[in-house]
Amino acid sequence: MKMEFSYRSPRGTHSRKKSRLVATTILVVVLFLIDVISGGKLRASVRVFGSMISTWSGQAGATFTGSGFFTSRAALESQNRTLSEQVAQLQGRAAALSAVQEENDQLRAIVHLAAKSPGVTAPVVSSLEASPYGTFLIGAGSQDGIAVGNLVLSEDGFVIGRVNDTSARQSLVSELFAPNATVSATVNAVPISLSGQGGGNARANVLRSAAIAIGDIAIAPGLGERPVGIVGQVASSSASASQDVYVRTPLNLSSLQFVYVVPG
Amino acid sequence: MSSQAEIFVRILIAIAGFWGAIVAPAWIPAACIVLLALRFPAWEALLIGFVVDLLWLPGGGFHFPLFTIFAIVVVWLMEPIRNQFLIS
Repeated sequence: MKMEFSYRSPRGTHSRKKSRLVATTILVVVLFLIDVISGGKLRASVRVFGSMISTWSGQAGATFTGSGFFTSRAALESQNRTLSEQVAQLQGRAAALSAVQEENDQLRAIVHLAAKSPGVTAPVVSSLEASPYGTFLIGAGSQDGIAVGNLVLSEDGFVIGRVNDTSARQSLVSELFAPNATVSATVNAVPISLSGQGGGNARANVLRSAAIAIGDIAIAPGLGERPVGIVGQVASSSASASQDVYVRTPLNLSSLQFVYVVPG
Repeated sequence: MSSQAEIFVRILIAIAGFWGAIVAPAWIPAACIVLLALRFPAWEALLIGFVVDLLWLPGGGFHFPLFTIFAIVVVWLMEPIRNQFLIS
């Protein structure tokens, strides 16, 4: 029996793998620089592809869960989700009513605020959980009149973000309460600085004497006196001179399907 | 693990990483980057980090591409460790 042996140097294989790694590292750095220099053209194309995959993935997921394979569990989860969303919607409506009442008072005092800005309704085309930077994609871009700095509102009129980057048919929105973002707002005429915590939540530290209660509305003077959230919790201890105010957007951001974009 | 099984696992993790970059919470692509870099000289881990930044990095001013940097650091940090301990 004739046996053949061949010798493959492990060092050679290793150096080939390492050179592949070096090449990819250089490629990634070069592509990033090209993207920065070209003003984000590469980003725009990847986002179009990403939003397509996100949409397909959502449809495939809905088909899979609706196929009956996970009927009992899916039904319970669906019921739970529906009830939670109903509660969030009712809270949102109640908060929106108060916001409208406050707005009416202000409109009586300041007539020029009555001129509401025209806007664009845009679908949310990406997951709101995927971004580590507190951003999401909407399906309207510069061709639809969207510009960087435009405000993104929920159906109840709460500001949830600001347009950060636009391409022809898509825009990237930064959540108002993205991690490390700060928003100046007032609650019951008390000025507060809200620090974003992500997921539509923000926190502020105010004096204990400030009259702030659960359910109060936070309004951002810098965003056209629009509401940005409702106070969900006020935490204080007798030993502390200040209290923590937790503000949240009165809707489940992950269930958001459409947003309204107005000039900032 | 046989060579074919290793390739299959590598492709599976890479697909999960790219899919996670688009639709799943950020810890999923991060976990895939770490898993890939732990076992393989994974150039695709760098691409996963880059795709996350391309998709989600805010525009307007310079922002650090944290996921790309994370992927580069993890992949190159694991390189000597993998050579020393993980590859028989």
